[in-house]
Amino acid sequence: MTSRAHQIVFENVSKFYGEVLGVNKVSFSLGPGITSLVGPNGSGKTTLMNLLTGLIRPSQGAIYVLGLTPQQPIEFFRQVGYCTQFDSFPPGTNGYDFIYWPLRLHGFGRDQAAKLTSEALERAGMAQVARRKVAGYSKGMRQRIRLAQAIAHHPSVLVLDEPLNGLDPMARAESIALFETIAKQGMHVIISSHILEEVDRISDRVVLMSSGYVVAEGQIREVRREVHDHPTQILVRCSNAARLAAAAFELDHVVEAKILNDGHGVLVRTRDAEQFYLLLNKIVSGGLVEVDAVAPADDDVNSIYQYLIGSDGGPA
Amino acid sequence: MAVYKRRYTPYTGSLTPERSRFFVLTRFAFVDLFKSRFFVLLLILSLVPSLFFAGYIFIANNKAVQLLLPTGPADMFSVEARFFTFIMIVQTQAAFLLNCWVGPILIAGDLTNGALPLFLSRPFSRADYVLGKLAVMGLLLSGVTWVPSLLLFSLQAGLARGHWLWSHMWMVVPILLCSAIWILMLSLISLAVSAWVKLRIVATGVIFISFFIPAGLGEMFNAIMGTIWGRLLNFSYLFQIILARGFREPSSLLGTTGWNEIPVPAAWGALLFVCLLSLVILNARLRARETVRG
Amino acid sequence: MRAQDLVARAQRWSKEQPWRLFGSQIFILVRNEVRRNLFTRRRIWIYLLALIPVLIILAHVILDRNEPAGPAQIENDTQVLAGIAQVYYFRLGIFFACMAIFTWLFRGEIVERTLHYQFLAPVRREVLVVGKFLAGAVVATALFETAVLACVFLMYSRFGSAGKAYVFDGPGLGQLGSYLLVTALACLGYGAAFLALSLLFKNPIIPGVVMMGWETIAPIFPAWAQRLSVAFYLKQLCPVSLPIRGPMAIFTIVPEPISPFIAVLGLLCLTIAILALSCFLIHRMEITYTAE
Repeated sequence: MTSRAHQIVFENVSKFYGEVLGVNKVSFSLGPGITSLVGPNGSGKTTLMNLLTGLIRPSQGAIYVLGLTPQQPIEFFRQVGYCTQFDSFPPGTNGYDFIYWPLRLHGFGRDQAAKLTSEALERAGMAQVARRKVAGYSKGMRQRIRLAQAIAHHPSVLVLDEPLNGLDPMARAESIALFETIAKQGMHVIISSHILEEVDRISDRVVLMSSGYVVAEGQIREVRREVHDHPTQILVRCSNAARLAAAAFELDHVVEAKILNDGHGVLVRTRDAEQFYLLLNKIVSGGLVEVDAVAPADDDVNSIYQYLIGSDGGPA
Repeated sequence: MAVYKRRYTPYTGSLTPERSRFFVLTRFAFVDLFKSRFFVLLLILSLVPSLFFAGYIFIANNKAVQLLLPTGPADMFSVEARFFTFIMIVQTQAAFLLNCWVGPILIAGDLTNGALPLFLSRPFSRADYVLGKLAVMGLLLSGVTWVPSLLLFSLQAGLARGHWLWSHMWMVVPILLCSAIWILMLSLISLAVSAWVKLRIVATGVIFISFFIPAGLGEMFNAIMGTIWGRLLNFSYLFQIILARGFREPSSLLGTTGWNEIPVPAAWGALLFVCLLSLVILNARLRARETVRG
Repeated sequence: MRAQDLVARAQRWSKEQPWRLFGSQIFILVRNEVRRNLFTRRRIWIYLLALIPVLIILAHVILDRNEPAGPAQIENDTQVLAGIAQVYYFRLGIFFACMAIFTWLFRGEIVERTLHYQFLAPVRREVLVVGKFLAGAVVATALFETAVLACVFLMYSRFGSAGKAYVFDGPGLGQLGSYLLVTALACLGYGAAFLALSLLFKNPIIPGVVMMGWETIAPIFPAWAQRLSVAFYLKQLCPVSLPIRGPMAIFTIVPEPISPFIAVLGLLCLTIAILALSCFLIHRMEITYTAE
């Protein structure tokens, strides 16, 4: 129960839409920080988010968000903010009212709601256009006003379905900075996105989904280590690439050592990265090779995605 | 090993003739309709009264069965013009319900989802589009109006033998003509309303209401102003006036006295005016562009 | 005060006084729904539904102003007014207006894809049902009470002092009170029924049509079944009996009279029971717009 009170817990959750599978037997728990849901279209990311926020009910299993369920809506939605993918708004509303009235439903007084509305508009960079009708907003503005509504009541759990869609590079950078700030305050931020480079940069952990199943879940490096089918790629920038390549080939677990075109580095593919790093230490301490830089070349979300999901259709 | 170059090759097969191209829409609409279990149920229910009428005709022509009935043989089993008027009233009301359900499905979805520009960007005109949708309604509503009525007519002709067929052949004309005006009016109203309001649920409601509220208002107008012309807003009444005249029946058949006060040409004129108005609305609303109001 | 403190204070307040929170939530829901339902161009035809009889009576007042205004004419117009109220308003106008207003409360939000905003607010779904129902009731009642009032005023105003005497010294005021009461009850009863239908069916219009059929033919059913019809209670409260004969009499016939108090109480109980059903149904509802 203690862990439930601080985590988002999925316990054997399945959702079927008639005969169509939404998600199947999903079990994991998420702590504070940024978690990214990654997967191709139709893999079940939005279904998972809708289940998490109670917009749909699981066919099987249970979901707890900080120990709460959507059956306790007052307490639950105080803690949860959800920026959905639905690009629709109540007819005739303007940006200010769109945030203000839901805050009043939270129980905030007029002045309090007004203050929080202004604050949310500022954070989303929408203060200047708040009094304009939402119907006249651009796609990026609509995205940001939804984000502003989701964060206005200072939730502990922020769920964002494709929050970077339709944003220009500047707005995207600002949004990412906002997510990072929120996460640093100890909140849970759950993001689904197709933009893998950005997911990679901001995520503390990922949940990879494919065809309704969770394929992998955890910190990116941990997940990469568990992918044994694909040898780890390590890029070494060094002075004597040929010698390093020769030394590497003496190890059983190295399957490939490719000298870079400029002759100042080697791309090694190994089944045991730890052993290769030990060898590298020996070579460097022996003074045979001068190493400028060592970096794993494929422990990012993009590579994991390609290894685990790529064959299912690849990124959308 | 061979390398196959992929390149564009235009379609070289035969094309649907231009004149019958609108039937493509009709065909696909029917496929979609029959996927709905509710539609199938509604269609079956619309045809149930015809089964009872068939049973009635069978009994009316079978002395042995009449003798077995507790009431005994009687003249109550009479299959004449009045009976066919009644059949037509029942079946046209069934057609009305079917129309309320089907009409909005045909057009509202296309307009809500912005599909009209897709249709009209092909060698397909607005007239083809409307014809395609009208054909769905025409075929469907024929199936519950004049087709069962003519089948019942044939059944009676077959069972009665003798001169019945020749002495009653004239009834084929009102069956076909009255069905035609009713089907045309229902179809056009439902397509026009769907094109106007776009949302399917709302369209269903408005089509339904358009047969009740104007009738109620018309009666109110009559009561307050002491006139009869308010009944021009009662489409069912106007149709029944035409029906009664077509079957050479007195209008008192239709219930309350005074139902025959509206002249038949005025009834025809009102129904044709409604059809024309619906066409004008369709012409205004079915365009290959969309106006988005901010 | 910091934003976090504001949040903490609001949380404390709602925990300590949940009923005040429900009350304020209902008030906000009603306010927002009324604005959405009453002040939009799309609703013009509902205004027309309520106000066309007023316009017809106005035309009558203007065109027939030179007619003699004796007691017989007042009696005649009282009958006409009863017909307008009992046949048009209570059986058609209010019925279809409630169909439009109350089915749109939830179904409209699904069509417009905005219901998730309601479901993501910290509002109990029962409170959502009550708030929306009250909003619909406010709109429908305000519209039709105004229309009925205008009809009565116009109908008797053309008789001058005789009309005034009929209303204030005769049975007119009592009849007006009854019509206003029946109008309000009709809005509540039909409203609750259509709200429940909109939660039960994707396209509530066809069940609405079935309901219309039931409301019409209920008088021929056993007494217990008649009590499940809104019209059964409304007819008991109508102040003027209409001399309608033939099949149309089914609109006005009262096969089993009950006292006005029981009629009001019965209809309110029926309304509450249907609302309770709606509260149950709303818990089953999910946001799957693509399935609509």
